[in-house]
Amino acid sequence: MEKQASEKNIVLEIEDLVVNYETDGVVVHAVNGVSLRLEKGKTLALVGETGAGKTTTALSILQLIQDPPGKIRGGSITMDGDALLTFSERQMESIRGDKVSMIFQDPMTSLNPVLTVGQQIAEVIQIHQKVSKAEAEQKAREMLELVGIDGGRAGEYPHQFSGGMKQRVVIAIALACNPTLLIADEPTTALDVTIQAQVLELMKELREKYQTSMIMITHDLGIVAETCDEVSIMYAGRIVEHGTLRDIFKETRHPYTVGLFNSLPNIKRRQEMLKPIKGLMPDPSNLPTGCSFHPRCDYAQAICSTRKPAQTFLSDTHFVECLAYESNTGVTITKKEG
Amino acid sequence: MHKYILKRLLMMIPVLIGITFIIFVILNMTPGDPALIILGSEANDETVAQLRDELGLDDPLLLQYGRYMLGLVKGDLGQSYINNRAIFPSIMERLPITLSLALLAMLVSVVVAIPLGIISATKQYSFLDSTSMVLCLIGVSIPSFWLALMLILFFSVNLSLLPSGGLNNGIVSYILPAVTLATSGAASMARQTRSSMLEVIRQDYIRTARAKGVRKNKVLIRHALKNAIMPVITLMGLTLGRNVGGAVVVESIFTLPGTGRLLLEGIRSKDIPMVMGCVVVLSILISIANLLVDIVYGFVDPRLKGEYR
Repeated sequence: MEKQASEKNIVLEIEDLVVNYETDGVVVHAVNGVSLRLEKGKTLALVGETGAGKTTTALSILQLIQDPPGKIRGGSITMDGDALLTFSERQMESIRGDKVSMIFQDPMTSLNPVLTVGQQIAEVIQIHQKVSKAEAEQKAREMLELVGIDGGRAGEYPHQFSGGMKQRVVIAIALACNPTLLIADEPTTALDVTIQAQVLELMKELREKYQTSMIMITHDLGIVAETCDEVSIMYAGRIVEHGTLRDIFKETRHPYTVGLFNSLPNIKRRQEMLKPIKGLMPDPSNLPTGCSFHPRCDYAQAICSTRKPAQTFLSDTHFVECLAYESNTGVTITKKEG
Repeated sequence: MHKYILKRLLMMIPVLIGITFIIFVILNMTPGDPALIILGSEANDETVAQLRDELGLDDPLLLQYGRYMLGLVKGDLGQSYINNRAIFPSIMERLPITLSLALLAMLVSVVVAIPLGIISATKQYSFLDSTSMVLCLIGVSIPSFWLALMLILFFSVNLSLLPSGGLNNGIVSYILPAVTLATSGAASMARQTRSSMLEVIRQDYIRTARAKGVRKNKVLIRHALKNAIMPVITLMGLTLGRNVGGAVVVESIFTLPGTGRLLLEGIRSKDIPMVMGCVVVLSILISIANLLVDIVYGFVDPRLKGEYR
């Protein structure tokens, strides 16, 4: 991503991030040189299979990777001109929940069972804003109303709420201090489909209202199409294809992205078999040489197992990491319409 | 909640009936005639028979038991075979000593164990963690009578710092007995705190709290400890019960005139009413301690409150 005119509007920039999980001689390469940029008010989707490094990338921004074993081994994360990786623990604490907040995957376990939801929302307000306890509690009730829960329920405990309601509470906590960046890690995976739609609608609404930038981690391409502006496809700790929503959905280039789309059921051709991507995600402690995807790729040539693909820009907004798009590699993709 | 407490108090009745019955039967099965013990071995058969009749020792066991329970309901625990004093006041006189010892030991355990458990959990596999866990293992395994002797040897004999027994120095007299009694409880509590903290700090809601910008130490106390403390509270209830029992040994070593000593003397002289009285009072205490633990649960974990009916 070397160009883009609107430099000033960049909220978050990650350059060449490397994160390893290191235990007793085994090094798991979870994130291997991820770079991304997010503009103000935009939503970026991080899409990929389980283990692709999406959550690790997101947790790195907040520096909340479990250490040990997780270690950030390289790269930089810049937010509003601040190099976050140079920040002390204290400085990070002042950013977490205030400028950057995160919604986690499972609302059932993300709330503390022994504190009331009101206390849990008020806590984040009291940490980051100079308000009295009463004011924070008042604000907490307002946040509850904002996410569609009666403010009078602030004194209740998480176990008295349903899954969807809990996720609303988590959203209220995340948005309580009006963050610049909201990271949503599969916010609807654990919810019923009907509740999913409600929660997504709510997040969209609030994001527009407060001009919050967002990173949406998901493996659900439907959610991507509905909520995101840009899409990064992650595979084995790298972004293998990135572009606008249109680029990715209409001009799909990387064989892995194509595979992801082919794995979706198509209602118009119900008799057709689903085409899952063959094979499994590679072992991240022992990644294949060359292109990490080559063992599973239908178009792989000998060169794919030796040469690492570089970013090839297909347009200002769209890049792909695949040797088929580099010149003189001899790799070609015979396009199948699907 | 009131209804729950009342229900629990009522449930103590069958427990007490069970305990008293078992103790009563066992004591009556042990060899030795109480009448002979009271009168001395030179007493002639006639006087012995007369005393047996007076004490009702020739009646069927169930009748004797029934008579005892009837007295118990009226708050009358009978009279000592040895010195004819009423049992209940003798026990009450000495109970404060045993209670102070048990509670003090409990306090020592909690104050040492919980911080130690938390630190060990946050610094898992560090030198501090391994050291304290080894110490805990020693603490659990060490026999309390041996520990008591070692403490006396070191602090009383070698250093002449603390009294080796008796109650002449006020609270200072309790230090060694309380430490002796506290050791194994503290050790198991520290291990429990550590393992349940380790489990809780890996929970998602701890990560949520960190993502909110809550300070590390505050996360540990406000978010983690409150969740991790439940099994520790259970253990506290058990430990309090064990402390009351352990007081029997500790009181004899440190010559503290508590209920434990009274019980021991009663057993030695086959003073059945005294033994029964001590057991009844101590089991009521232990039952109350367990009830308190259950009530504390409700305050710590809101999910349980609804279940107290």
